[in-house]
Amino acid sequence: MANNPFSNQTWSTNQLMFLVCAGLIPGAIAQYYFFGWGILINLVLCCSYAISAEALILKVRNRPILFTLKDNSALLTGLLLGLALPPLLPWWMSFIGVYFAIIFAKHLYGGLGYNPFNPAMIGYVVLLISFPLAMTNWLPAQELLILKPSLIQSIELTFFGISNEISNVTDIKILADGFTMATPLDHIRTSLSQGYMLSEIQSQSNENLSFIINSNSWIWVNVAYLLGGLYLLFLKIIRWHIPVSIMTSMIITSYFLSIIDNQKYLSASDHLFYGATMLGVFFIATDPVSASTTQKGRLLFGASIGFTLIIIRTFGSYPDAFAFSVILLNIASPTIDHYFRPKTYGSAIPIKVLDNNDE
Amino acid sequence: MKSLHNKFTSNAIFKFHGGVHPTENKLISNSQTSVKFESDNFFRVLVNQSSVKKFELPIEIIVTKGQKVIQGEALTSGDSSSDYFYVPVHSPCDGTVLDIECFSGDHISGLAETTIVIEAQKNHEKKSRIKSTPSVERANINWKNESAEYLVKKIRNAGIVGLGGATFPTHIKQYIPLKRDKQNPATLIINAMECEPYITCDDRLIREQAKSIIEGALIVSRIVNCDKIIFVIEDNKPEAIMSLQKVIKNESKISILIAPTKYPSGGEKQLIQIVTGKELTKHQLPKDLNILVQNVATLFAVYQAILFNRNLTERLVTITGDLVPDPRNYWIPFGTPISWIIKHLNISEKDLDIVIIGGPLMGQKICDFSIPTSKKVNCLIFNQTLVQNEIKDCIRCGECEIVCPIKLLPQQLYWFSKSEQWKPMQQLDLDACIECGACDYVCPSHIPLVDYFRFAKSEVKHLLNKESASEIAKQRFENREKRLIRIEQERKSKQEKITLDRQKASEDNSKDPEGKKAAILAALNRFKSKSQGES
Repeated sequence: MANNPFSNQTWSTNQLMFLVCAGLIPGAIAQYYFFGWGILINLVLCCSYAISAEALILKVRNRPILFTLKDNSALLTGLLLGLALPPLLPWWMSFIGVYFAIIFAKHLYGGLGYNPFNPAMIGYVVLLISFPLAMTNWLPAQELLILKPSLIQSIELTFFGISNEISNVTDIKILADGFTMATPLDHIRTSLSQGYMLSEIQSQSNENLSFIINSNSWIWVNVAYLLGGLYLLFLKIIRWHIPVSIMTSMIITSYFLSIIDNQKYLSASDHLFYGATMLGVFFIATDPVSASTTQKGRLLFGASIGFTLIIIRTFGSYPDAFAFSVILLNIASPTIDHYFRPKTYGSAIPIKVLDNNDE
Repeated sequence: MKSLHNKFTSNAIFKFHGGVHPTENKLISNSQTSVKFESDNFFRVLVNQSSVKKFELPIEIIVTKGQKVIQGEALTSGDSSSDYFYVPVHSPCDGTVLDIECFSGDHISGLAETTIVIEAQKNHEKKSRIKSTPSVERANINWKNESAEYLVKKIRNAGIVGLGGATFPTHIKQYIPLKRDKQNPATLIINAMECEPYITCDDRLIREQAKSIIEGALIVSRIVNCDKIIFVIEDNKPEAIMSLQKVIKNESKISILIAPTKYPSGGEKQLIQIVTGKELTKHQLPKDLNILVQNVATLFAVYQAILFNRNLTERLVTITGDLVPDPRNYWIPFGTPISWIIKHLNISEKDLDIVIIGGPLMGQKICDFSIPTSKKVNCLIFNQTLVQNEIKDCIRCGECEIVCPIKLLPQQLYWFSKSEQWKPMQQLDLDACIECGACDYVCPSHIPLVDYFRFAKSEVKHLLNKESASEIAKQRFENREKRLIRIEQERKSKQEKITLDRQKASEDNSKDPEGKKAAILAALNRFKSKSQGES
């Protein structure tokens, strides 16, 4: 059969996926710089799990293995999960997450292009619900640690949960000043739940050097992802609609909340640069398969993600909520696509449609 | 320098949605002057070379096997007695009709079509080689004094169809003159866009025949009675723009609109959108906006037909691609087999698997090289065998929607066509698709979307036909049922009447025994007389 057009010079799917993977590099480097070897171990583990899972399920489904692996989508899922999971997570937990993502969230629906949800986020949520403690146990920035695990120690901790000099992962979290430290969002929500005012937390934090260092490291990680995202936008691998609408709606929602009570609700800039915001905005919500496809639809899709994100972060019981809000809107995207169609050229006159009884 | 730059940059105000910018590859063939193609000694002329196909009305062939024909002689009937939609085809050479047979035409499926095989006289070939461009003695005709009907008839008899590639009969477009309307001034838009990559035949034609094209445009504007003539041309053809500007200096009626280079700006709907900013609704034709769109090659053919009495037997064809030693534009007579072009232009056949007819985006791949050229073949691309892109699954990236010039959702149409859901496809306005191939071009998974849409369109058409047929059958069945009921009722009422009459009669008899006796007597008498007659 004829295959027009004969001159195709745009990105292919394989290249697209690969370039998105490449866009993650600045963020990955920043995470490695601030949080140590754990990130790299996660990445290596998750990528090999993802590729093996994809190969396995393709074999079971009787599909061409190498041909499909070449599209780099499994690699991308592995990378995203590797970056989203906390460092020094036990190896079998990431195994469960990745295998669930690839096999259940992706291939049981028919493979790349057919999955209604972002596989990486499904894997993440499965782990978050099943192992909430381990999954919220994010390490503080490396320079605050007394015990900085070396590569060998990190590997030992990941695989055996124990290493010489470090008896378990929570040990590491005891800082030089004897405090423990979670992610900034986690810290703030815990303090808020203890009845502190936001200004109190901030003034307290200002004296607390470790909080500043820790939150700065998160800001830098987000800036790195932002750079990677801008590079994707520049190459037109992703379009502006989803990132811009998410950020705009985050800013608007948090602005309204802070008008209500600026002592209880975080400001927009905090929301944008803490947690996994930039990773989610540019690399997760823009996943074409599970996002809305029409341009108008994408604006609504992004805006709703931004809104639910802030709402869950503020009122929900999880410190970060990107995975949840993305999955919620993934469910809605077919409906959004149905109602947000562009107006076709010359569509003033209604179209004659086949009768209902015809099949 | 700046003024020169301004001279050739876009001055169009309106634009259309989407579009793509493929590599143009026009330089391969547009720097060489066009030459006459030295043709083979036999031609295979397709009987129907216009886009109008009516199977119920076969085209009348007016030559017979063995008949001698001269160059430009009509082979099929196209005068007022035959079907209004048909345009005749003409003999490309002096020669003899060898055969009339079915042969695979230039349709994508290689569908067999009726062709007339003509063998050329040997001496004629030498004569035609001398001329570089077609010219016959100018007829002594002042078209300004002729009636529009006469000119349209002449255009039809010359076999002119839209030479931009659509091959819609030109006379049908010109038959109804445009209205005198203050709001929408009657406009003749001349399509010189040539937005497809590789093709340069219109570009070359304008450069070489600008004066004739303008005269052709004036003839057409006389026919349809229009106020304005607008040449619309992409900004990638500065030489052509210059030669047009030179000629139209003193014509106040004519203007040039330079549009930015973007595919598919040469589509009729997109062209009208660029010029007027208006969209044609579903059932509208350009003439509803008081517009007539004509291609430059068509105008040149009109010019030749009116002023030189020349029937349309050849056209400028771009022969290009990396396998062609001398890529340029050739005047190729309709009916020349592609295999002869390959042979004659020394195109290395061993690297050649497919030839592309038309541009790379909307064109067709041809594997059978024996098929002849026709009025719609404006470009032949001979490229080395292309690497087939691997077709992957759709990742719903939505790039196809961004480039679609008519704002469809190709990606959703694709899903529906895969699952054969024709109804939602219609709701998504499948019929509006112009099959430009922009979505194919940007698809990262290399899905042949337009192929899916063509298939879906034909399926929908088939279903609609079936539906209307079943509607008719249903109507017929209902009518029959009604008729049967009516007949039944009539029969019943008749019977009732008879029984009533009988009852009445018997009642009368019982009331009147004399009458009964008389009746019996009469019957007996009748019987008697009958048996007597028999014996």
